[in-house]
Amino acid sequence: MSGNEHVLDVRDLSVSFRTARGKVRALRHVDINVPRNKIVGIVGESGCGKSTLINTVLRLLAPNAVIEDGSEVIFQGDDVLKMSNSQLTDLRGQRISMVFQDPMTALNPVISIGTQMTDILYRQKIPMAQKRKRAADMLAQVGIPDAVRRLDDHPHQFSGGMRQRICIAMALMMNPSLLIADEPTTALDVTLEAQIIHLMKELREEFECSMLFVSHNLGLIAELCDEVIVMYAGEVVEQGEVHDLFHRAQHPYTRMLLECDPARIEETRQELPTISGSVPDLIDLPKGCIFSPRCPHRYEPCNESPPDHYAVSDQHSARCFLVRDGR
Amino acid sequence: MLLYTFRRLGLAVLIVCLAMLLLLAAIHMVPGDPAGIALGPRATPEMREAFKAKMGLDQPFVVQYVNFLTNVVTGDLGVDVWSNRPVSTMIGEQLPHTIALAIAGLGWSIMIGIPLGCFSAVHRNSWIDKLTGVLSVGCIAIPSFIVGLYALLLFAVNLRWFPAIGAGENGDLGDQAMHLVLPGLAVGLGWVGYLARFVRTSMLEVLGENHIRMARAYGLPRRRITYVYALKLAILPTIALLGVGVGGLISGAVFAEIIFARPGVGKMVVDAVNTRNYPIVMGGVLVTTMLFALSTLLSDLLAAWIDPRVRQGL
Repeated sequence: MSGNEHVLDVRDLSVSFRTARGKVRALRHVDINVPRNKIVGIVGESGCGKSTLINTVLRLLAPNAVIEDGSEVIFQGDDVLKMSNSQLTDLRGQRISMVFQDPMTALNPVISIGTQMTDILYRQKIPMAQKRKRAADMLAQVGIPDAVRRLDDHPHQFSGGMRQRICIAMALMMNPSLLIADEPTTALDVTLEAQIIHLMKELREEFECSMLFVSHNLGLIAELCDEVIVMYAGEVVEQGEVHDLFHRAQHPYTRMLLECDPARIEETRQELPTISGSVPDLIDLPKGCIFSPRCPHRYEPCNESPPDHYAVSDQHSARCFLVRDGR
Repeated sequence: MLLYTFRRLGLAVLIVCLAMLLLLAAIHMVPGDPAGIALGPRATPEMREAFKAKMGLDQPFVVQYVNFLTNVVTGDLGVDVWSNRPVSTMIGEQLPHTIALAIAGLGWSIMIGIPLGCFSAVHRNSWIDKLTGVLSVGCIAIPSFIVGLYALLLFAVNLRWFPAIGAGENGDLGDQAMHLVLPGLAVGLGWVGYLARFVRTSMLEVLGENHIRMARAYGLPRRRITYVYALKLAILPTIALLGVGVGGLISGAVFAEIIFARPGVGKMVVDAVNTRNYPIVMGGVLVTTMLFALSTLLSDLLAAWIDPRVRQGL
């Protein structure tokens, strides 16, 4: 690999979906990057484009999706968006891998764990016994006891936490350079969540891969990630180093998200705080700032034109006129 | 798997016993005195009583049922009224032809229907998918005797590719197989369309599931995803459908048997009904019921073999 310090560079990525109602502009001019050996977190409400983003990186979008001209997804120097099918097959699972949200449905119920794991190694011309050994080693590494014997078990014979461990083991089978985790703990209870996060942290160091971690759990992001990207309605609204961003959040949306995190609420009250209003219609976008309809701090420039990314510090920028105007 | 097989086998035996109970009850409920019909209007009451005692008809229902069961288990299905030959022997002669025809029909529908369904699902909304859709519904709508007649006309009379009637020479397997192609098509064509539609639907459902997305994200080859990861799941409802469908296939075989002048249980039963040959009707219905129970048993075992979750169910 060249001296590029970013494993993944997403530049000016816009993705739309053709629907009966019109074009849903799910992602608009998204610029993000994942530095080597770093964990980058993506936060945002449901429907903010997180899933569209990671599906674009792996080119797993629905058939009605349109990737707009000018978009680039550079992975280790190659543009994923220009790849042929065979290049994509080579990319998926081998160079970029993924852990999905719901471990209960992520594994094929009628195929044994061992077969599902060794199938990922189909590109390697090594004997089956060796593949099975590698699979068993991976299972042992993610904390599945009695791994060799359990290779012939089927997914329903494992608990939810175990299944997510298996998914992680599968994702790391080919030693990928980038691991995408799509809310890997949302479907698990809190104890398991802590265990899985701990495991992912450990394994990331061992396998030296970068990670894109999608979650709406701010606590997890703060604990695990080096950098954070806050997305809202298909745009990146703020990004920065994790400590900086959580302590000096600039964009009103980020601040409100932080206030809504139940873990951060100090006073006792009956109702959880929420952000009033809802995500705007992505078919008919407002002219100005995308967040302005829900923003308590909006003023004149917000309704005129969309804000640019304004630097807060070296590593930290926010898409808000408040930052430009220093208010 | 072994435990499941035993349990499922027990269930199948139970089903057959229940079916026999119903069969016997149905005959009892039909008005009329079998002794009177058998001996004619001029028989004396003494003769009727003697006849009833000989046939065991004076026994209580439960005893009759138990006798029925024991007779069936020992392979005694009664005697043909006209020729006095044992019914079991007569059915034994016809049964292989019926089973061969059912398998041929099944073979046609599986070999064409399932790949067609997969193809439609993978190339969803393409013109081929739409064409397949129209053809499948067409296949379902055409009655099997029409297919049989036209197949006979085209492939046997005009093109002379396949023989027209009969079941082929005894002992010559190749000849018998050639005689099965057209009747098999007649019986199976409707199922081709049915299966194609059915497989397409379940395949589309499975292809939308999470684990398929995950398999794609791990870069597995497309063909392996479609024909192993997805099909193995999508085939399960189809197997259940086929298990029940074979019953319909056997009864639908009657037309094919008549058109192609083939021997078979269906044709034998129809002939027996026309001549009021009740032992054969009962034996035939019983054997058909057993075939039905057997085919559902096999389909359940096959499903359990494919899907480990089913084994824990029963």
